[in-house]
Amino acid sequence: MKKIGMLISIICLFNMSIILGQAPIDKAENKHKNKQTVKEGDDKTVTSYVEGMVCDFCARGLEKVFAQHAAVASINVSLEEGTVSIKMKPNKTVSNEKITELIKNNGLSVRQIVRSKEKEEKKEKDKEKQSKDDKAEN
Amino acid sequence: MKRISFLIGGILIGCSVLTARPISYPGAWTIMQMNQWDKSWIHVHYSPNIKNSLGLNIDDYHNEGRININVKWNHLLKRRNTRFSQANLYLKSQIGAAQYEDKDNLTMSMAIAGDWETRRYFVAYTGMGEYTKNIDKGSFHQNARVGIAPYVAEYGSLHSWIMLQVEHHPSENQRKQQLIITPLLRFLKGVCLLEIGINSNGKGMLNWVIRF
Repeated sequence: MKKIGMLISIICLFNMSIILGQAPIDKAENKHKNKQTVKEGDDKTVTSYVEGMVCDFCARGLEKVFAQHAAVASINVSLEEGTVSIKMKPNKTVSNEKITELIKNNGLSVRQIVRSKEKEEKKEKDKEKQSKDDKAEN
Repeated sequence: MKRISFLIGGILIGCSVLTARPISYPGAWTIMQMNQWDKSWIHVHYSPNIKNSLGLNIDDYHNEGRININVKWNHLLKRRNTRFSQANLYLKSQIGAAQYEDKDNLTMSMAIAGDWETRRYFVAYTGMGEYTKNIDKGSFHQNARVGIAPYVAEYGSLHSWIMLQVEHHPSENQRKQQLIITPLLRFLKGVCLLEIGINSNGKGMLNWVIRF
């Protein structure tokens, strides 16, 4: 009887955890979307595409290390996208080499680092190329 | 007060082997407390870098009236990261004193542990050899775990896992203690990890880990 009671308690606890666990996902996704909106046109955000970041424990070290860095204003981790977005303080930055070093020191691998300014420039170049192609066709 | 006593009792009565990462991020401290059917133990370690952790391990063999105090060193032999997974191979070793019948006896153990994890699936294995002078002339233990996450949670959310653990202790005298199966639930939020379950001998399990 005690075992059944214990089993039922565990099942209830687990169901609760699923409900509690899924609710913050939406919040986290919304939070991420908001950050993405802020990132548009902002040349002070660096997005690192990280490999091996499969759980909170993996990413916790990155958050701690980057938060201690003098040039970093805030960071945003997305396990879904495998990214660490680092927002820099005004007039400050961290080099790609340093970001790679800090991530590797935490046992993770870096696939790619993209700066938001580069993103914007790439978008503009693509637009220019597209308009040139359109003109040539006309 | 009764509730606190019940909680502490629950922590001390539980029974299992925890398969949490033995090395944390650089500069982090980890405290883990867990209970197996034959012993309860607490482990505190510090990770100076991603390859190593050094700590103190206290085992209380409640059935034998023996306490082992060990210095423990965990070393990451190999890690493989991909976009969606992480795989690790660890070497764990410890050496210390076993206090038994007012005598201190040399004790040591060595283990190889491996794990592979995605955000949805988890697999782990540990094989360990132990020696304690005048008590244990050499024994081998192994355990394996598989797990699945019923939902994939984002960073900072509550992560839940359904896991199955199989322990094999070939040197145990009683057959029911040679193979122990434990279905368990793992919850992870922020820097805290909690595991609860019931093993095939009907004993409860409650493990926890905190990193800071």
